[in-house]
Amino acid sequence: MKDFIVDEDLLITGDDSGNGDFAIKEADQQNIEHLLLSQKGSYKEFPILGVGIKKYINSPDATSRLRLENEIDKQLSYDKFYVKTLDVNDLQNIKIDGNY
Amino acid sequence: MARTIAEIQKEILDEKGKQPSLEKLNNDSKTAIWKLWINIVATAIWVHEKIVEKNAMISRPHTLNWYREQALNFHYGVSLDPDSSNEMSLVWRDGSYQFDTTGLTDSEIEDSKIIKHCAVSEIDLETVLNPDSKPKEILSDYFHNKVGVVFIKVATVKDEKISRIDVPNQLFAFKEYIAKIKDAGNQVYISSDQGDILKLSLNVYVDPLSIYINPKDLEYYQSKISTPDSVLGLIEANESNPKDDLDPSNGSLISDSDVFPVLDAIKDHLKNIEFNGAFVKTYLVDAVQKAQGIKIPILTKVQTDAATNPSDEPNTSPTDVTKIEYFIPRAGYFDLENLEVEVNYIPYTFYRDKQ
Repeated sequence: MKDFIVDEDLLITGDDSGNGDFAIKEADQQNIEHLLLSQKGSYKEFPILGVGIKKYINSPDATSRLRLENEIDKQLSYDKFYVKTLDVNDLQNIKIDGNY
Repeated sequence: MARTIAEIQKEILDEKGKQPSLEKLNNDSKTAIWKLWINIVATAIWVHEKIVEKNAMISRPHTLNWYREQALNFHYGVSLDPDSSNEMSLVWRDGSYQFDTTGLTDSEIEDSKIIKHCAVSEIDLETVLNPDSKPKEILSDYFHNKVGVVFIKVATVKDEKISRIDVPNQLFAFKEYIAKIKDAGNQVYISSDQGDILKLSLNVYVDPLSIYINPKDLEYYQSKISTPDSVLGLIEANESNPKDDLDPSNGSLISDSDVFPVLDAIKDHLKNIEFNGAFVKTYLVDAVQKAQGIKIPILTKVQTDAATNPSDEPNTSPTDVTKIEYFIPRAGYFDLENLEVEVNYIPYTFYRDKQ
């Protein structure tokens, strides 16, 4: 699925044509990134959307990790993303496999 | 009517669908950037439409709503200079003309706005041209200027109660203000009267387990309801004798003798009728029904009358309006201080009555 792409500073990236157009590229990766980072309520249209992963990362005990896994799973399916495997044992390197 | 955000959003989406160059944008995720933009733009348009809607409603002169808004915006004690073109005392703000209140604190502004309730109405010619009425009545209504006159009822709030504005001082100033802002040639009739008198009589069947009734008074109450309508006149005549002996705590809660559920429900209901709203008998009964320990409330008599000024002859016999299902108090509200409620409390004990 294609969408506008934003960089890490949330600035829209331009395309390579040099005409100043916005880049429209594959956006699945970006969707998941935004889903994990955004807090609930950030998207006014979908108030319950967003994992808010920052809050979980600061408390790396087992229960919160389970909760995080559950939350990510729920949020991904809410966004109609089919999850094949999900692994949050390593918080630095969360593995999500699946497709829209 | 302003459209909803969803409607605006749908229109943008439909429009986007018609543009082949935008087909590339097909991210279905809820986090999609392009959808987010549509949502933001739709919200902005919605806010704009709300403002336009409000402006259209109140900023256009000649409408009743406009008169109402102007009346509620009246600041007592602030002079309005009609000839001023530079020293504006009225400024355009938040979608309507308002008094220039620079330098005043919020509470000062709030204090100077004396009119808290306002109802505007008019009688048009069609209402008067009722085919049933005699030509004489029509002509009389027309020439006595009931047609084409804007009626404004205003009231303020004193000690959390609706009350009339200070007559004559504040009323005079308000009339002057309306005279300056109104359209030329319009007739405006402004009134701010004391609340209407209301007298209610009720028969209420109550749960004797939760509401106190002095046993010695039961007979009196029973006699009042078992009397057929035809002899009601007789009862009214000798009403005064036993009534004074009634226990004043009749009708209070057994658990708390300071609470009178029926009276409280009635007062609460009357207080919550909106200004210039109708008094509806059925609604009052419904409200009483919800009170604690009340089984069957029956409204037997309603009397009302416009309040009289202190200098006038007091009106001793209010009009009986029991047969009218609803009416609007002439002043726009009822005087709750002088509300008279007569309640016959009857214990709800049918299951033990002889059939």
